[in-house]
Amino acid sequence: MPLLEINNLVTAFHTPAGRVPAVDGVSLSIERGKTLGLVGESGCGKSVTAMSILRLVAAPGVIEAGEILLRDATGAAVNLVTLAEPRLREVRGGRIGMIFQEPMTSLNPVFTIGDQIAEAVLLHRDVSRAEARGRALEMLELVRIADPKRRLDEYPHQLSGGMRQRVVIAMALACEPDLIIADEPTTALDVTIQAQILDLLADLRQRLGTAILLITHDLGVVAETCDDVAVMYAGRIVEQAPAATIFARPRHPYTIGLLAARPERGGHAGRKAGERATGRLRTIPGMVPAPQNFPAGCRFHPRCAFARLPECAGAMPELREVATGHFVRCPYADALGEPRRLDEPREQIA
Amino acid sequence: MATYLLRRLLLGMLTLVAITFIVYGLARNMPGTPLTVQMGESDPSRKLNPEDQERMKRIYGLDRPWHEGYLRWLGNVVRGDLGRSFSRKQPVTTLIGERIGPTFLVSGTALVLAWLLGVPLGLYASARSGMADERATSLLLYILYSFPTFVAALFLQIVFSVWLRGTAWELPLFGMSDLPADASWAARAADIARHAILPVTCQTYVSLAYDSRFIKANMEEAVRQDYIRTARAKGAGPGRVLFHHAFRNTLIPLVTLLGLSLPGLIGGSVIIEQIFTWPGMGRLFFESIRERDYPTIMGLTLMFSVLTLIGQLLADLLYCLVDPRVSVE
Ligand SMILES: Nc1ncnc2c1ncn2[C@@H]1O[C@H](COP(=O)(O)OP(=O)(O)OP(=O)(O)O)[C@@H](O)[C@H]1O
Ligand code: SF4
Ligand SMILES: [Mg+2]
Repeated sequence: MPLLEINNLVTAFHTPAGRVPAVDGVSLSIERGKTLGLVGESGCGKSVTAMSILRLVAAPGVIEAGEILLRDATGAAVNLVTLAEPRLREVRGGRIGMIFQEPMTSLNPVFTIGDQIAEAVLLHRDVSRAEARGRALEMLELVRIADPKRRLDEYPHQLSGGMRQRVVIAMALACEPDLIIADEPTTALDVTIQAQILDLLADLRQRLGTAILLITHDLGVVAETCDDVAVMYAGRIVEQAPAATIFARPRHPYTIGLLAARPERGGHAGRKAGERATGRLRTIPGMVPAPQNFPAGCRFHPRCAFARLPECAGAMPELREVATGHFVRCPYADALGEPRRLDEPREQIA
Repeated sequence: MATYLLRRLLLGMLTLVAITFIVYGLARNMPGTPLTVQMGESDPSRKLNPEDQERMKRIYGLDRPWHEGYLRWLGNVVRGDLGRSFSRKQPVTTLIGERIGPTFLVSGTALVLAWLLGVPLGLYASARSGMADERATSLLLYILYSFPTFVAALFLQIVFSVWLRGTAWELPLFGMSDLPADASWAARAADIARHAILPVTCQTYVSLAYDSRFIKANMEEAVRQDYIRTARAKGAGPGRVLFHHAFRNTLIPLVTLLGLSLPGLIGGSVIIEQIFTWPGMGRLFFESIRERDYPTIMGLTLMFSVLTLIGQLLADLLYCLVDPRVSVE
């Protein structure tokens, strides 16, 4: 029984220019204590998916359909989509913690670090202020902040970006949640700090047994830290599988393209896609479609090197299990054939 | 801290000298002098003969060029002497002393009322942002805000002093008190309060509309910030998010607004005091300009400037208090 299970989640923004289905039928699951990497190009709906889980999508965003099941240790599930607000608040920060991309702005500038961590504790635990403060200190020690006693009374602006992100992590973990959602937790940080934060997360997961939903577009990070990977494209999951499987044998053409587009670090399976290994960063030709004009059929078909026309532009392919625990949204995943060169001009498909 | 205050003090002094210099220059170079305005206005036939004019000019010090006059005024101020009013034959300090109380009564009450009502109203508006009741309230406040004070004042006068004349709701048209000076203390206080109702209402509604809109705008800005999302992700409820996390951040601009309202507290509103014939500072200022009463103009200018500077300093100090990112250093 997975800890978190998302089924056919649809989250759309109702803008004056029309409905924007940023998340359009996402299904994925996270096992207890495991790390799931959610990858995909910018704008594919990763953050909106993450925000939907805790119903933090701001207006004009609305969760229109689907269910998000969170299970406790006994296997009893609650649907976060329909859960009443007060109960949902118990989940936020209590059973699910959240880490955001921007450590510089995600802490309140007018409260001390200690107060902000203690608040998370006080909101969920029946403890005194002093106990909450003690817990905040413990958490700062846990996330390995130097001189935690002093930091407790400091304000966010007195801390570096990396330290702030540690504080955010401490806050997210303060109530020992079952799941941490980390939305690009290192993107805004220096490379060396990035590695430290990822190490910290991996270490904490080991020690606390917290499951992690790690959103990133760095496949290197996924390779190092994740048990499972879900690949997202244009508001949908196109492939989910154990990380080892994805890297050894990607099945969806988009995943194949993503892996091939990685900066070369000594041949990964992605090269099988037939692209030249030139050692420089390559990208998948073409543009990510905006939610307002997702193409019909397989949303990847205008960019797919294996596309079969007109079939691929016809019906939307279903996510199907091609091997145990390996889901792919492409009917031709088993017999892709020879890729076409997409970087050369070709006719536009109507 | 001490060096900071010292620096602010020196800077303030320089600012004061600059302001008073400019105002003195402007006042002295306005067409007309106290003599022409005073005499010529009331009765053209009573114009002074040239010798008397020269004599008066010498007495008032108007025979010297204006920059010399400024230096003399400045010298007197340094010795603590604001001079005597030309038109009222009284020391400027006495005049200010008489007027400060009535002005403070009206603007102080209005300020307290405006904040007491404006802060909850602004918070309410931001909490219910976009809902029908909030839109109606905001529209009403906006109309109030864009309504000229003098129109509102005249309207209130017509309603309460003309239409309701003879009823229990009648309110005095103008002035501060109708009772003789020997009336009992309580009776006089009640009478003054009755006279103050309309001016206070007028002065309150403008700041009320402004304050609540200001708070709403700042709350909406704060609510968009990332840390609000963090607070919600922690499990904080809507009330806590709004009043603890967002409002605490809007205190920062609020403190500036409060500092800026300090001079108005003593300065009063020229328009309102004029319409209601309220014997306050705003009206004194207006009259002293009309009468080319240079010492009074300068005394009031100096006082407003000092208050403005104090207000700013106060705002900056409070700023350090509410925003940990700012320190006086
Ligand atoms: N408030 C909004 N109003 C309208 N559209 C929105 C809004 N927020 C997000 N979107 C749309 O939703 C889509 C998905 O956005 P999202 O932030 O989830 O992307 P992402 O995968 O997290 O990308 P990134 O890697 O850049 O963070 C985008 O195409 C964006 O245009
Ligand atoms: S369905 Fe067609 S277009 Fe889509 S990924 Fe598979 S082969 Fe490519
Ligand atoms: Mg994102």
